[in-house]
Amino acid sequence: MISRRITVLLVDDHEVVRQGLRAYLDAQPDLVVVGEASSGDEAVEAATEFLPDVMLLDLVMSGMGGVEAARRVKSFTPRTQIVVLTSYHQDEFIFLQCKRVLYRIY
Amino acid sequence: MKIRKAERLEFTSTDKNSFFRQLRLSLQSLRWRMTLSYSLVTVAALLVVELIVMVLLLNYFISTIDMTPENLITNLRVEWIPQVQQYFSEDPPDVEGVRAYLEDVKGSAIRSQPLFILGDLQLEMKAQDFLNFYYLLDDRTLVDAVPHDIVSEEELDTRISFDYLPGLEEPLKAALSGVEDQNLLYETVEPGNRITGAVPVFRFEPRNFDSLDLEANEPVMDVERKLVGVIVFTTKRFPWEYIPIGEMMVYIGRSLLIFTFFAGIFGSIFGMITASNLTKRLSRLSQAAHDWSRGDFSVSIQKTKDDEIGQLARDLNKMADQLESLLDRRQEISVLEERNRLARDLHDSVKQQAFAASAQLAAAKTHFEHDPDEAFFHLQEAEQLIEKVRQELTALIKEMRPIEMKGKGLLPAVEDFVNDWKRRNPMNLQAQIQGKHSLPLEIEKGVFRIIQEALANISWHSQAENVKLMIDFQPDFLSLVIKDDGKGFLLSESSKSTLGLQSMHERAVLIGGELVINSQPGQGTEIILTVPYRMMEI
Repeated sequence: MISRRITVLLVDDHEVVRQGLRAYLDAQPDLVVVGEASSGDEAVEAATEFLPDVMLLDLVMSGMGGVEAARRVKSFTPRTQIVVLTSYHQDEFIFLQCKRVLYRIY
Repeated sequence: MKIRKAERLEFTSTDKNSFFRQLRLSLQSLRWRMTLSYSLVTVAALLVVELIVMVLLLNYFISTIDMTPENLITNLRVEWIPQVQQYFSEDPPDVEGVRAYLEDVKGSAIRSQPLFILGDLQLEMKAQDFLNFYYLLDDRTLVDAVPHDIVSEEELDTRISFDYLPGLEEPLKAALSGVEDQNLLYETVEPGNRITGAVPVFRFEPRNFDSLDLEANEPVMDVERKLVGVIVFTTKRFPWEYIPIGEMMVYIGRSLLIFTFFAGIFGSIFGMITASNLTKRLSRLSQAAHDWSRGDFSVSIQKTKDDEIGQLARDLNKMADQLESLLDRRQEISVLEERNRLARDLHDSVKQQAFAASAQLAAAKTHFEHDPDEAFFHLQEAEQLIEKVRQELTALIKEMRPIEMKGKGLLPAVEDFVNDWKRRNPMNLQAQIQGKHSLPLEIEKGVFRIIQEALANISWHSQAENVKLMIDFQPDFLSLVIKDDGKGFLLSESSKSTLGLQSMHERAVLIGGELVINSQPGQGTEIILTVPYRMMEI
C-alpha cells in the first residue's frame, strides 16, 4: 500500500482551486498530493523534483502556458500522466494543441 | 452649445449694456449683414445707372444744339437784328436805347429752346448761353456786349480793331461793306471749332414812298438800305461753358437723394427676403447638426434646392448616416467588450471559487463516514467559498446595472457611485472635487462611465490599498485623475480589451477629450482624462 499510492502534482494559478482539489484528492485513500504549483514554470520545477505519477494541469495561466508546461514535463518524465483541467473543451485550437502533446484526452 | 446659451442668459441678467450688446449681436447676424450689403449694392447700381443716363442725356443735348454757322446767322437775322435795328436806325444811333434794351433782356431768354424735360428739370437753351455778342456801330464803335461782362467799361464807346477776336477780320470787313452772303460772314477758328462772325444791321429807307414798311425784311429792289451797325458773335469754346451746369447739378443732387432713398428701401426689402430665405435654410442645417450632436439621428435635412447649400445638406445627411452607423457599430463593439470583460471576470473569480467549493464538498462527502470532523471542516470551507461567490455575483450584477444619472448630474452621481463602491471594496478610496463647471449631459455621461470602468478595473485587478479619484474643473478643461497603488501592469502586455481600456479611450475621444494611462508592474496605475470645454461648445 505504501509504495503504490499514486502521487499527484496540482498545477493551477488559483489558490482556492488548489485547496479544493487537495481537499478532495487527499480524501482519496489511493492518492497523495505531493506538490502544488501556481504557474507553468513552477509546474516544470515541481515535476522535476517530485516526478509525480499524475499532474493535474490548468491550461490558462500567466507566464508559460499549460500546454508548454505539459510539453516540457512530458519530455523528461514521459511516465507522468497529465490530466488537463480546463473549461475550454470546446475550443478547437487548444484541443489540437493538447492532442499534439498528450496521449490521452479525457 | 448648452454652455454658451447659459452664458448668454447670464449676460442678459447681469450686464447693463446688454440691450446694446444684443442689438450689436443681431446686427452682426448674417441676415442683417446680407440685407445691408444688398441695399448698398442696389444703391450703388442705381447711382451708376443714373450717372449713365445723365451722361447720355447730356450727350444728346449737346449734339442737338444746331451750331452750323448758316443757322446761327439766319437766326440772328430773324430774331436779334430786328430788335436792335430801331435803335441803330436813328440818327445818331440811340446807343443808350440799345444798352437799356440789352440790359432789360439780359436775364431773360432771348431765344429759349427747352431741350429736355425730365421730372421738374427744364433746361432752357438761351442764345447767350453759347454765344457772345458784340454790338458795333458802323464805324466799329463798341456799343455793348452780351453777356455784358465780357468787355470792360473802358472798351465801350471805343473803336475795336479788326483783330479784336481771332478770325474776326474777314467777316467784320465783309459785314461793314454790306455783304449779305452768309459764307463770307463767318470764320471757323481753331482750337475748339469756334465760329466767329459778323452780321450787318441795315436801315431801310423806302425809295418809293408807296411801298410799305412791312416789306422791309424782304430784299426789295426799290428799298434803299443803309448800314447802321454790326453784330459780332462768337461761339463759346467748350460745352460746359454754355451748359447750365449749376442747374443740372442741383437736379442731379436732388434726384440722387430720391434715388438713394428708394434704392435703399427696395434693396432692404429684397435683401431681407433673400437673406431670410438663406438664413432659414442655414438655421435648418444648424438645427439638424445640433440634434445630431445630441445623438438624435432621426432628424435629416430636407433638401430644397440643388445649389451649394443643397449640396451641403446632402453631404451632411450622408455624413450623419455614416456617423450613425459608426456609432451603432461602436456601441455594438462596446457591448461585446463589456460582455467579454464580464465573462472573464466571472471566469477568473466566481467560476474558480465555485469549482473549489464543489471540490471541498466532494472532499467532505468522502470523509463524511470515517472522519466527521474533517468532513465538517471541508463543509465550512465550501460554505465560505459559496458566500464569496454570492458576494462577487452581487457586485457583478450591480456593475451590470445601467447607469443611473437622471437628474442627478455628474457630481452627485459620482458621489453615490463612490460610496457604493467603498461599501463593496475593502480599499481606501479618496475622492476630491475642485471647481465647478456645467457640462453637456453627453459629456457628463461619458466621464461617469469612464470613472465606473476605471474603478471596476481597480476593484477586480489592482489589489490596491489606496485609490485616489480627483475631478478638477480647470478654467479651460476638465481634468479627471484616478490613481491606485496596486500591482499595475505592462501596457504593452495587457490585453486592452480585457481591461476595457480600449472602450475607455473611445469614450474619451467621443466626448472630445484625451485619456492617458500610466502603469508599471508594482507601481500602481494612473488614469488621466482631460476634456477641453471649448470642444463641447462646437
